[in-house]
Amino acid sequence: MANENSGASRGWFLTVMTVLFVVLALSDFTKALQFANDPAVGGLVILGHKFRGVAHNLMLGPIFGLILLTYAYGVWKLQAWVLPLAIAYAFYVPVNMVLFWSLHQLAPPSVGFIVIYLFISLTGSIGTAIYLAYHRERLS
Amino acid sequence: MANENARPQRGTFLTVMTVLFVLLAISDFAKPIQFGHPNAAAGIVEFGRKFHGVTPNLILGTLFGILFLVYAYGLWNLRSWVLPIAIGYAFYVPYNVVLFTYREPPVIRSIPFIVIWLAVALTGSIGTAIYIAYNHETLR
Repeated sequence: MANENSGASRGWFLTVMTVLFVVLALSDFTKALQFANDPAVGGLVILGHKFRGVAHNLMLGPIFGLILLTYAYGVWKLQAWVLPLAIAYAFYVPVNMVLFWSLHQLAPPSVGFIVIYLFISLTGSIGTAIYLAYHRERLS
Repeated sequence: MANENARPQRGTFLTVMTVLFVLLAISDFAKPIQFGHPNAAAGIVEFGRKFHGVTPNLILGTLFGILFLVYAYGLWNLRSWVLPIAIGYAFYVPYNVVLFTYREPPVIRSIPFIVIWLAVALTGSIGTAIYIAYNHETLR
């Protein structure tokens, strides 16, 4: 019964975001494998710095995976402590992207790709933080 | 009397942000004048693209200057219609910055410069939107 209430007040937006954060966590947990499979593309990016090497990704991937799982759990359960995490993540994602593009000389992807990528990543980070802040009375 | 009531609720953060948005509006209104002394930094950047020439800067600078003044007015008077503007701007700034970084790479800048610049830009955009969303019951 408590879960039904919680599910109802969570709403579809936070439900979708929770699923995406879990998928992102799984992606982070497997960063070492991704890097081993394709070193040119794989590798965790933290504060604009791309970590190369299996060992770095094996160590940092699970740490960030755990943070994202914690975030997903907090959103799913509508915990009050998730709001500061959401706010920090809302700032972290654009900082990470800008620093990455500033520090790396890469062949740019298509504008279509980057716009869709920005849409998903900014909705997940900034959108979730604003949504949680607006509905803070639902958090417990 | 109404203004006296509104002022204490606005708080330091929104007061500072309002002043910064007015300064940003003045900067945008003055964009065409920058071409009197053109340099690499001159020109308004919108939608990830830097606009060169007096005419585009006159049109876009004026439009965005007015938009910032409206935003600042809404913040100062704690109007409820300012929330959608704040949310739109919270998404627009990272879009603009990332697309600009991606499209027009390197004028090489130092990391501290980028970090400080991002701190100001993202606090003004994302920070203001989250703050207003959190305190939306103070809007009228």
